[in-house]
Amino acid sequence: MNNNLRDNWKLKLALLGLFFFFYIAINVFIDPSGLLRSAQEKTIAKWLNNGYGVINAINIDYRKVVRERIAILESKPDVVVMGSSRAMVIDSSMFPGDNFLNISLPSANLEDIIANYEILYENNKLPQKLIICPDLHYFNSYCKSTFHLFKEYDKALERMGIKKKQTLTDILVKVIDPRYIQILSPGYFQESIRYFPAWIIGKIPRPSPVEDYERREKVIRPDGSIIYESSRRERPQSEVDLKAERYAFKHPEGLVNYRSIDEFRRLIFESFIRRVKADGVELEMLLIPIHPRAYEILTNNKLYRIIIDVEEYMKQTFEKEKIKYAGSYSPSKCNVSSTEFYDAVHVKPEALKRLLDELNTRM
Amino acid sequence: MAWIPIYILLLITTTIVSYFSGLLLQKQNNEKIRKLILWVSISINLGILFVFKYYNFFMDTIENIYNAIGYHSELPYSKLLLPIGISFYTFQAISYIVDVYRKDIEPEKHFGIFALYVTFFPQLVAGPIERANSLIPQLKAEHNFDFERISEGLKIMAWGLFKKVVVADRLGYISSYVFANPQSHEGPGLLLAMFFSSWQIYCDFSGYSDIAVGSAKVLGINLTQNFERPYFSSSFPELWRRWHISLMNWFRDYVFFPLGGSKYGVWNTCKNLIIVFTLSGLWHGAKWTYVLWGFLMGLCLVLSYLTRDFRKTVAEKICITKFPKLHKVIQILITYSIFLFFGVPFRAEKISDVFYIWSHLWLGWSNPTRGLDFDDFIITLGMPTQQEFNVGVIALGLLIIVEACKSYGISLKEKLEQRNMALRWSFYYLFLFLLAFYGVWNSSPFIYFQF
Repeated sequence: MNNNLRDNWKLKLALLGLFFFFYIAINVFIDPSGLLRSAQEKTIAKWLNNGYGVINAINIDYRKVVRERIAILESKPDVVVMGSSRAMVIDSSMFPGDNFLNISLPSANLEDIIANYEILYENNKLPQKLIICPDLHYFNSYCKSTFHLFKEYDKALERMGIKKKQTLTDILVKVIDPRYIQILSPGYFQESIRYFPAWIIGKIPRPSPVEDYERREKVIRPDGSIIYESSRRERPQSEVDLKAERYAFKHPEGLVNYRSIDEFRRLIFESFIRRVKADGVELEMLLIPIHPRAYEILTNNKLYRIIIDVEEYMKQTFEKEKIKYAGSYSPSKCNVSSTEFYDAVHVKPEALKRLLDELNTRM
Repeated sequence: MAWIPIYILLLITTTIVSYFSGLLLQKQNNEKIRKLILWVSISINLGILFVFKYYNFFMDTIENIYNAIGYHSELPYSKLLLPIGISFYTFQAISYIVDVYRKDIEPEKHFGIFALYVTFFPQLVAGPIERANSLIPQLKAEHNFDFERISEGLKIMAWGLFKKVVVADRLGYISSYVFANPQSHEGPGLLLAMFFSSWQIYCDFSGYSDIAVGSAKVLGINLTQNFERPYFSSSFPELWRRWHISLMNWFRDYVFFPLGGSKYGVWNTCKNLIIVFTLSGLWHGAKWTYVLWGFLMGLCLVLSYLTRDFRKTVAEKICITKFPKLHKVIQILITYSIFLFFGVPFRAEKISDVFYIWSHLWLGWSNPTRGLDFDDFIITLGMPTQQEFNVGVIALGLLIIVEACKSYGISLKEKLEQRNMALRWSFYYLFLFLLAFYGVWNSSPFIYFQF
């Protein structure tokens, strides 16, 4: 080591540290998605319960919003829909005369559904009818989870008499708020830099309440359903089809390493169904299809043929438990065409309405 | 490929089996028993690899044969996932056992040191495959804080990250998409995907190797350099001396030489080369596409070996040898083009896709963008936006310039280090900023993790 280097190494380490200080400072100060604005979910929940829609809810914790709004909900809903973002466009107009609530969550997995139900139960807001829109990845033990409702989930398992092994991820999620990990991520840095000009002039879009829902941006309506942004609603069909192909060819995250139906998840799912029935809630299931091209590609790929078995398993379980169900992951089996999709997995409301009508006619 | 905690038992088994085999081999003088210990140990290690990596491939092949002869049977398939890094640590453990058997090295008596040799984290999941005589003495040595060494390691890691997240993952948008679905594309799209794919694989793997080498350097350990700008090679043998060096050295020492190497005439040499490269293809993955790729690479090497004198004569006859720099550039381009063309099976999902790509590479050139604007055309190839494409091309251009300079003995890194501190640190800040801002940070796994 030469003298110059020996003299300067502390300075150099400080300079390196300074870069990372700037990196974090930019993320913290610009904070384009309001990750550190801890009260925003509570405020959004209040707006929604007071009958307002919400725009610019870009990176909010939907799970917290649901938890908050159920806690302050004034009356029991008649019908509740639970699922992933694929079920989020189901709205109250599809259930005329009913007090309707959609508590679907983006990237929801089985744990979310169970935890959501526990929130309803704990707050004495169990509906008369519960419609669940289960997803294919529910039984994949390798599926990454963005699950945060661990307290409610653990309670629900306890109520169902199921013991769960604590994994390292479970412990880490309890100790470290995933928001703090996200605020350190380079992806968030990229967003912060993009929003830098807006931040300088003080115009970073933050969640705000609205009364009219016919807008260009995405709106969360008071019933919990969403209206997608116009760029998605008006997407040309060729782009939709291309997105579907890309989704299927790029190894969908929830389906990676999906070789078999996980026994533990199966146990939870079946116990959950029995619990809901025991609580006297009318349970129905709606299987939402995926884009025809994506379905074709996935089912032709040996790695993902499990999705046929998963559907078969679900239908057998529903029949065994005498639960009404409609729809299919296969679009051809439920007559949903490629023009009725926003992308590979998100179906337009008109098609969902048709599937719900079919569900209603089932005995 | 998966990281499942219980699979750590495999790593422990490999470590224990190899450790005790080494000790037993040293104690034993009876050659027959030594040979038995060697083969039992190798069989256990390869057996684990077979069960987890090749069993379903084997079953698939049998099923296809059955189907071809009209016999239908339900074969028992395994639902086991491929443990991450298994091919690398298995080969590293085998090299140790063979070296002890050959008495090239003394067996390591300290179990902790040996376990560290097998599981040393920077190179555990994707190499470089280290030899015991190189790594173990370093693991035993005392390492003091050395800022220069740490700084050097961090720079290597940063460069590796650039290759991975700025270049490889961005080029991967097109190559992954087109190779997953080649039937929707024609010549221009296929060629672009092949070109991007070749650089994606190189940047992905050499990026990982740089990160491994750099992080080991920070800890005071020097790992084998795994890549030496292979695309700037002027012949096929040279390319394979500069590509995945630790694996090629492994195959050379533990397969090629024991088969007789190049000692027994031209045809035996050719046969051995084909065997070695076909096996190296199989090592990369349990798919016939990899086997085909390995076989073709071996074949290219054999042809290169057989036509060496002829090519030399032709070059002299057309007087290209009078312009050595031009001659070298032409050789580099020819070598790269051959690697590009015969590299198709490496990325193709199925053998039929390989032949589709080769046969359709020549079509669609009268209307390269299929009547679309260039922006729309590249989006149909899987690139999210034109801007992503531009960033990818610029980053790749920068990488090629840096590597080309190195090939001509010009080190831009050394030039930068000669500048004053303010300039150097301005560059480092800019580099880190660009890395963070232009990196594709949505956790695309390294391609070589699946091997």
